[in-house]
Amino acid sequence: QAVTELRLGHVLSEQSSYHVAGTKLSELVDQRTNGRVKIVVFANSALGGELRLIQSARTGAIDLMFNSQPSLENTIRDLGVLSLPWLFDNYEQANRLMQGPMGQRLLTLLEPVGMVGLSWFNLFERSVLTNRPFTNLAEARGLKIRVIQSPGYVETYRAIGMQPTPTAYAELFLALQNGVVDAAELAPDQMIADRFVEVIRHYVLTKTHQLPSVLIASRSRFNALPADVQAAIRASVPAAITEGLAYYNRFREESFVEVRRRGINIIEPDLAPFKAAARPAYDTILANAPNGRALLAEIEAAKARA
Amino acid sequence: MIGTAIALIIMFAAAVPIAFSLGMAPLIALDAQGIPLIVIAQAALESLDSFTLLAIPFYVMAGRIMLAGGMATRLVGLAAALVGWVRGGLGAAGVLTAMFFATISGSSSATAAAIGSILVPEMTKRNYPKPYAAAIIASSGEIGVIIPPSIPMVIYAVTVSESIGSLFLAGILPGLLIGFSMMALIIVQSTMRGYGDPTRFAPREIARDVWAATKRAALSLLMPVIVLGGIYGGIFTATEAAVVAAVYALILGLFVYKELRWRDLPDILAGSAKTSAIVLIIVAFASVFAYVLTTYQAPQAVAAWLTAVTASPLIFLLLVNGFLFIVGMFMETLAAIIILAPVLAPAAIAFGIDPIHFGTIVVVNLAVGMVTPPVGVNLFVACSISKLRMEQLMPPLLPFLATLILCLLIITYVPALSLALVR
Amino acid sequence: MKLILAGIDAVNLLLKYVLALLLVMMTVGALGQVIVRFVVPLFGFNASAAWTEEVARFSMIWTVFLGAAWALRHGELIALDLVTHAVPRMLGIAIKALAYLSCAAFCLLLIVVGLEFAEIGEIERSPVLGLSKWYVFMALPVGAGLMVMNIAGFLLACIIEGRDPRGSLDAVAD
Ligand code: NA
Ligand code: NA
Repeated sequence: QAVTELRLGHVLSEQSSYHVAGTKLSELVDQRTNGRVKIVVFANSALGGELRLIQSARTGAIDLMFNSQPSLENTIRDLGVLSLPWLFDNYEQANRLMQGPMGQRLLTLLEPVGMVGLSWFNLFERSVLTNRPFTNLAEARGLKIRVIQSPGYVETYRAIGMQPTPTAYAELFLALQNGVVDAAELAPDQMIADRFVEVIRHYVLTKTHQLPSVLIASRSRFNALPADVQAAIRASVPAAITEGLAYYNRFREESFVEVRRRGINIIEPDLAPFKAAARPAYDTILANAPNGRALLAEIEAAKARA
Repeated sequence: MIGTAIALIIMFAAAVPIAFSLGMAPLIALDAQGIPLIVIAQAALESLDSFTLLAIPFYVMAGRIMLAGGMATRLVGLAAALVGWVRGGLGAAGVLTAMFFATISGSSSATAAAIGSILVPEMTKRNYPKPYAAAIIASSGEIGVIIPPSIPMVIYAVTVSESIGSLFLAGILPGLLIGFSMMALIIVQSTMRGYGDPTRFAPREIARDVWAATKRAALSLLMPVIVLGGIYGGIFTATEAAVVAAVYALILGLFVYKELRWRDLPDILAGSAKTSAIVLIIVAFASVFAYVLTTYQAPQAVAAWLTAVTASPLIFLLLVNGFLFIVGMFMETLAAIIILAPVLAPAAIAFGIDPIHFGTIVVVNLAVGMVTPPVGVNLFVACSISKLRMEQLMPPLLPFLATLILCLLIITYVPALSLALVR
Repeated sequence: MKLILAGIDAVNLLLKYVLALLLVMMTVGALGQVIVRFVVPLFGFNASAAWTEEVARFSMIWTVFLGAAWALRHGELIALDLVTHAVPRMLGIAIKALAYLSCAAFCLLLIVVGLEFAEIGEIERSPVLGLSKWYVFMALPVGAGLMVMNIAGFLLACIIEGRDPRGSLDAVAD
């Protein structure tokens, strides 16, 4: 019988949580469909960077992808609510909410623009790495920081008094090494994987953003699949996500150990003044998300319940 | 897949512009795989959406302004005064200039564009055959990505999680080897064939000429200082350095040398835009072709075969070099690195090859690919600047390609060349 | 025919100034980054101008498609004319003409998929300027349309002036 081949794209390496979860999904779907459906996982941006993957999913050029939420903001502005600084109290709470009903609710935002949100995936807790250490607002003032080009990131650091500087990720290593920028906001695993530990000396645990990733199917490609195949994919997602999350959490802890082992100075400042200084940025950030305030209220309510 | 390859060869042969061939050949494959044709639009637009690529138009523009504004003649005058008394001195100075630009530029085509727009007309004026001058420019441009900074090295290091700093250091000696080898080749060839001005060795006269030329070129010489100081002093990135160079050249040409008039500007700007577009439109449609290669997992299949066929690291390296050389003929460098490095690097480590050394081999090899027909971005730049057809460039290019391949083999089999500065 | 060609070249004259302007925008965009990041803080301001980078990138995308279209007016896109010069003259010219006609057909396809893609991009905003990507993606269908025009213009000029369409890079009118 005919074998349907589905393409899953992501931008991380073959050692990443994306690849682990994607490979697991491929195995499970293969089993559930008795080998009728093969998911081929393309790592390392082989099918394009994040923005291109999103477009591909919308046009039906790929079937599945892992992507990060800030890249989706350009297409779904309401998702910008997830870029608000210190939106969640901590990493664990954020994971709980995103894997629960609140996460399900947010996935429905993908449908109208041609994508099916299958599940939220791991969160990247992002803090500031720098060669100019700071423990308070005064010391942070004026630092040139590379952040993701989304209002939730740019406005946050501007409100804190830093100078957000657009820099391509591929150029960031050199920029930090040469001092074109003083700092960047990244997750600990990126510091190891992309070798930033070689050029920076301090990691300030600001935990500013819990950046979510998400498993997405192309709506047109997904709906064209037979109903039993759709069901087999949906049924395989939770186990694949669980395995990927366990892998990421282990990886994240190992990264922290490695960061310390490499002699990076870890700074844990009092975050209250930073949060207070960033709060006014909420207005600017939410101005870009048409239903942002309502969604924020829903998230706050879900936090209170959890 | 085979249909796409055959279609590409037929279109190249039928003189369909390379950019369009790369966009049209994948049509069959896309259709066969049920991929909507809209990916053509997407791949073409997305591949151009890069701040890094901006270096190309800016160095093209800087080159044109330097040419029209009187900087180029002053710099070349100095180069001629310094080494012009040797047969082939200006050609060798072209390579030296490329090596110098390489410390500013992370891109091969930008290096070729910057030195080419200045030196091709100048060399033609001084008794070098134009295709020979263009061949020098095309082949020395690749030093731009071997001597740091280097965009392909950054991409490689990020793709396989290796140290960018180490890879940069590893590129220095191979870059010098290639540069000096080519200078030697030019001097030998020019002496045998009588290219360039004849030899006249008169120390007192040379010293006087050098002093005069230095004074005349002083402000022009300041440009690399500003650009290099800017990059290493942490003021701007390599791409931004390109625009600073262009604007500095503009100010000098308009207000200091006063050889540039305001009414010349629309022509210079539009001409620079066109030259850049001729190069970048190929980058755009090459990404469509690369997309099809990826979906068929063609590179992976070849890489798997490579590792199955031999147990000797020496033969593995030879096979990898042969494979990359063929890939480099047809594929755009960055796309090739992104697709192949993650597959080849683990295999190399399994063979006990130092990962930094292997990265150097891959980057140097694919940099040679920028000079090999039919798809070679440096060739396109050189053709576009010299207004020559690619086949006119081929005969004088062959000795340079042979030299580059020889250097590549030395770099491959003498790991110390890459690793001496790293350790 | 001469009137058509004159009309085409009027569009091309406009194209030339648009290209010059685009390069100015790229320059201002890229230079703006440096000035804002380095020069402005010297005067005690704390600013960031992330939009400058988007201006530069988007201008470059337009430059590429419009510039390539402009280059086609004189057949300046890079091609391998090895075979067309090796075969008998009339055959070579016929092959070259056919090559250009196939390019024109491909450009028509580019217009269709380009418009379709621009429509999909309409809701996608650029992160900083908040500009709809429609304005960026339209570079492809607009450029492809102008390419068709200039392929026609180039072949027309070859017929009127009795020129050889092969070896296009020799015929640069730059
Ligand atoms: Na370089
Ligand atoms: Na090549």
